[in-house]
This record gives sequence, structure tokens and C-alpha cells, in this order.
Amino acid sequence: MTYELKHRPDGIAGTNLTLGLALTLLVLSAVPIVLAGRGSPTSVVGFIFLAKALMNRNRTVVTLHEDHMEMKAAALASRDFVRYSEIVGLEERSPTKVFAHTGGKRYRLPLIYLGTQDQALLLETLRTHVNTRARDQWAASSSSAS
Amino acid sequence: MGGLIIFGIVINATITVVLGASGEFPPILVAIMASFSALSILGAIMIGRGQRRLGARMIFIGALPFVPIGLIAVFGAREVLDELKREAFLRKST
Repeated sequence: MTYELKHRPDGIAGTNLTLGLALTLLVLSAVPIVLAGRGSPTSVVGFIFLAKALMNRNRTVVTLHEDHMEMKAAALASRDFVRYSEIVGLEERSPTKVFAHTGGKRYRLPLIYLGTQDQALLLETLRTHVNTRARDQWAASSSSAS
Repeated sequence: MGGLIIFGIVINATITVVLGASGEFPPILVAIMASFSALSILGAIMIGRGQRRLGARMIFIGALPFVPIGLIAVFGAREVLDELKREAFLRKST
């Protein structure tokens, strides 16, 4: 079973806000064009935000597979692949600042780009795997001790 | 992925040609943009020949002066690098 967690439309990191900002900048940049027939640098910024909003609309940020997950926080960011079995612990500094620790690397989970339910699903999935792994290790160590 | 790279490179090359043909810009600037554009084209050729990682990185560098429109080629190169990462990850799994 694969779950695709999409970029959130609402909130401060949502695409709706970026789109609104883009349209505002584009409208503002149209003013000097209408009044003086000259372009404005804000139009470039407006187009950049518009491109960003359209690219992020419905973009898959996290894909949860059976045994691993894929994360791509931003459209230009690299895609990270993490096996659940490699995650040794979760460091939860705040509700949206959570790090997954593997043997050598630390991955920041892109929670801020996900909706509330998707955040909960992602965290629950990882906590389950971490707890299962810890329980299995504990069971293995107690059986070897006895 | 290939489409984004080709489209981006064509746009970058077109911008270079238009700027060069306009005559309003210093020749040194046009020469610099042309060399970056050539680097992108070379990167695309490298990808076609199988050296995907090197080619993608060359496209990254070659598209820099053309930002923001150069981001089109950068996105294509990013997808190539992501695909390489996926293949390496899946190879490690098996």
C-alpha cells in the first residue's frame, strides 16, 4: 500500500497563499504598465511566485511505501529515500520540526508542507516502525540474556 | 524529464541569441551567456550518452545565468538526479 502525501493548499506554507501573493504582485506590476507604459521588476517576482504556486499545487511531498519512504520537501530539493528499518529514532523538537535519525544521517521531515492529517499519518507511520524496531531489539536482547 | 531539459536549453539558447543579435549588450556578457548555454547543451549530450550525473550537474551550472527562466532546465536536471538516486536506492534494497 502506497500513500502519497500532497503539498498543503492552506496555511503559511500553502499554495493558496503563494498564489494570492503572486496575483497581488502581478496586479501591482500592471499599474506602471497601464499608467506609464513601462514594465516593473515586481512582475518578475510575481511570475516566480506564480510558477512556484502552480508547481507545488498537488505536488507529492512524501510517498509512504511498504518498507521505505520518499521525501521531496521543495520542487528543486533532492529526493530523499529512507528505509523504515534504518530509522533509529525520531527527534521531535516542535510539532513541525521533527528529525528522523538513521545510522549516519538526519532527515528533517517536511511536515510544514503537509496538511494536519497527513502530518499525523507520517508521524504515526514512523513512530510505529521505530517502536516496533525498539520492541524487537528489546525482545532479542532479553531472549539472548535468558 | 528529457522534455524539460530540451525545452529549457532551447529557451536559454534563444535568449542568448536574441541578446547577441540585439547589439545592445556588451559582447563579453553575450560571450559569457553563450558559454553557459553551451555548457547546458553539452550536459544534455552527456545525459544522452549515459553520463547522467555529470550531465545533470553541467546543466545546473549552465542554466544559472538564465534564472528564473533557466529553472526549467534545472528542473529537468533535478529529475535526472532524483532518478539516479532512486535507482541507487532500489539497487541497494535488492
